[in-house]
Amino acid sequence: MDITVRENDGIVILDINGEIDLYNAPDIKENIKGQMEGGKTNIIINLDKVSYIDSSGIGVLISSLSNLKKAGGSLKIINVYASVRKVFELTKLTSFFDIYDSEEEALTSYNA
Amino acid sequence: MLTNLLYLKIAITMVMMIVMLFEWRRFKSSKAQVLFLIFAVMFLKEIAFVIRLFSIPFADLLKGVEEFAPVKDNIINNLGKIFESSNEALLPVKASLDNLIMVWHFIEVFFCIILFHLVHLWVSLGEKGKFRKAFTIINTLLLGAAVFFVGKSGTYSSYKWIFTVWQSGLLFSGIILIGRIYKYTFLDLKYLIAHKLAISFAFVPFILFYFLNTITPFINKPFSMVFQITGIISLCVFSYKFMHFSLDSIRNKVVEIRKERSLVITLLQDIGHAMAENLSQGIVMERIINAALKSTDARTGCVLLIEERTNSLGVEVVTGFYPPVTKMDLGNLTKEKFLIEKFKSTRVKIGESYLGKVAETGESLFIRDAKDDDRIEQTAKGLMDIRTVITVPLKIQDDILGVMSIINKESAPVFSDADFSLMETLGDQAAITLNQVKLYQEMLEKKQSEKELSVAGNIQMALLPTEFKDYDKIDVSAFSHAAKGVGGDYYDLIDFGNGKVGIIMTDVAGKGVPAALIMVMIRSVLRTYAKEDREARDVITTVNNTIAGDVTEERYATMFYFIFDSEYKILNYCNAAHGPLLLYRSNLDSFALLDTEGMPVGILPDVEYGQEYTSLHSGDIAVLYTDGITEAMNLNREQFGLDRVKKIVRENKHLRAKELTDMIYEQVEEFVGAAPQHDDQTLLLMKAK
Repeated sequence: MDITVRENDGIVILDINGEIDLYNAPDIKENIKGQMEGGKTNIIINLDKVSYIDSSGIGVLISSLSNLKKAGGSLKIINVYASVRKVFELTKLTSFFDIYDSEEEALTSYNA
Repeated sequence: MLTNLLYLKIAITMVMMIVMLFEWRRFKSSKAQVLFLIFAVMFLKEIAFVIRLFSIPFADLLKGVEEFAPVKDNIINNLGKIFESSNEALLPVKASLDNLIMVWHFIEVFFCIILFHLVHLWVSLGEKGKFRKAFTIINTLLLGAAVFFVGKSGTYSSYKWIFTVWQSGLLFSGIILIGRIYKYTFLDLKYLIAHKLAISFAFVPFILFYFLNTITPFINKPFSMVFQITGIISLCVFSYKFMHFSLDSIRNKVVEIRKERSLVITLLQDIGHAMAENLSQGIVMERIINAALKSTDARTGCVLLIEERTNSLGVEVVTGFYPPVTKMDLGNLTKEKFLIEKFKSTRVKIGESYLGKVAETGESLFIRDAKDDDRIEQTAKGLMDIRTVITVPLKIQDDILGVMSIINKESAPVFSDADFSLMETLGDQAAITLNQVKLYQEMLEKKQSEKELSVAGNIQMALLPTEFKDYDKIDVSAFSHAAKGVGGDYYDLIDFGNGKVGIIMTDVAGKGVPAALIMVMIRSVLRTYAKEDREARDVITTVNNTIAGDVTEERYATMFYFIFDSEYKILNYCNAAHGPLLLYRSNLDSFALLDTEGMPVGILPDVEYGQEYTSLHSGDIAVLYTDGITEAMNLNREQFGLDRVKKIVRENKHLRAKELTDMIYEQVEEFVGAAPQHDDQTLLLMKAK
């Protein structure tokens, strides 16, 4: 799994590529923690290139969302497809997260 | 008499020339090569001297050196009349023979003195001490100038006095060199310090040779030849000794290397035994420092290890009285015992003092003469003067773990290069051992934690009921197969009596001890709170509210809970995002998936959960499972899926619950084959009678 960090108008976008599992999920958490320490609390996670996510991965997204909210920020998820969407649906967390179909939508939601 | 002495002189030089030629070929020694050249030129000079005698007219001969007349007669008698008849013709040869003898004197000086001084100079340049360096440079320049002057000064007769003064100078310089042996100057030539007494004896005849050579022209008496021969013999003795010492130094080196090797092997065995017995870092370090002290004959030594937290060196082990690194004002308290204790409790900042500098740079430090060296602070003057120091880093590749240091040699004023090389080897060995001890201890800790983990796993498995009693109206069976160590799957059956049971199936996100702890928490809440009159939704809501506040959000669990009243066959269920209950309706021969609204427990408090009721009939089969079953993957990356479960249930609906679960387990195993499983496989099946 690779994480690429971009920034758009103060909003951090993490492009994740690969499978998210028990062993690498903490990397995402650490990365977001690092962003928060750098004062960035509005984060978009792009799951476009993610083929698989397990319960630990979901767990990391949940705790990151919670941490960001506590810091007055937000976590939005974009491009959730196929098996990853299935996992979100199975765990009934689709409405728990802010999920957007595209990056533009997620970005405009901040301006609204 | 004189003739015989002359022959003796030629014979001796010839023999020495041949001896040195053999030595040179035998040992490929450059020293033997140089000595061979000296004797060869000397031999040629003597031959030239004899030939020159015949080129001098009789009148000259009688006027000048009368003592050689019988020599000439003798040689003429022995060698025939050839020379006599051509005496006049040989006259022009005389001048060139004179030059040859001149050249010999030049070469003699060059090889015996200048070369020696150049070596001395070369070694001295590598040393500190500006005075010694300057002295050696001036000394060499003076001698060089003298030789140049001599070479320029024409014939033998015209420079006799200058030659005398110059040779006296050489004598003086030789005496000074002997004097300097006892002032450590000769430390630069290690084999000389080892045999300084013998070398002094060898030097005396060498100087005697020059002395006799110097006074010969003034004595001008027959027995001056005796002096010359004595000089040559002295030089032979010196050459022999010189060769002998240089060979000795090679032998010593071989002995040192063997000693070092055997020491390292012994040490390795020793450490191996220590590791087999009881491996503690302190004991191993103590063995290494003791080996270092024993082999270098050092007075005291210590090992300091880097503490990353404080960025300083802490004393790991110290043997003997190792003086503190910094001076303290103690008044009259400078007692040895106190200073030892003081050193033991020292923290040496990295980069400070000579120990800290070695730890910082990772480069070994060898201060041969530490008495006046400003890198060393004499902190225990009078009690333990630091005379000589070796400090080596303990490092693996670029990772510096600490330093090892020894002070003062018992059997000699300073440590030798062999001691230094040995310490570097021991330092490497110590670092490797330290690393091994660390790895070994990590392994032990890992083993311990694995043991704890397996204990936790056993406890967890013990919490899962494997046998269910025979109920009147239901038949229950379950299995749980942990993928690796401690899993997070949990199922349970709570018997409320009156034919009512509560059944739970949960899957905690993550693995290992944290997941098992959450599982135990859920179990406690459930066992405490679940009652026959509490609806499924209440139970799940309570579990969620209890866990959500206490546990970090990423530790959540999916959970399916139902209460079954077997008397009226009513099923009350609630699902917290777990896989839906698979219900086989026997009267319809169809499957239903029972599910309700709600997210996993442990994420947010006060989540609204839904609940439903449904009625069952005799022969209906309810199956609860975790995704370890439905997502069990074979090597073709196919999932077992719910349909395979359905098929097994439908085809074997008449079987008892235990037989059904065994069959499902076997078929899952068969399906996945050799593919490694990452998730626990848990399944519970309840059949309504």
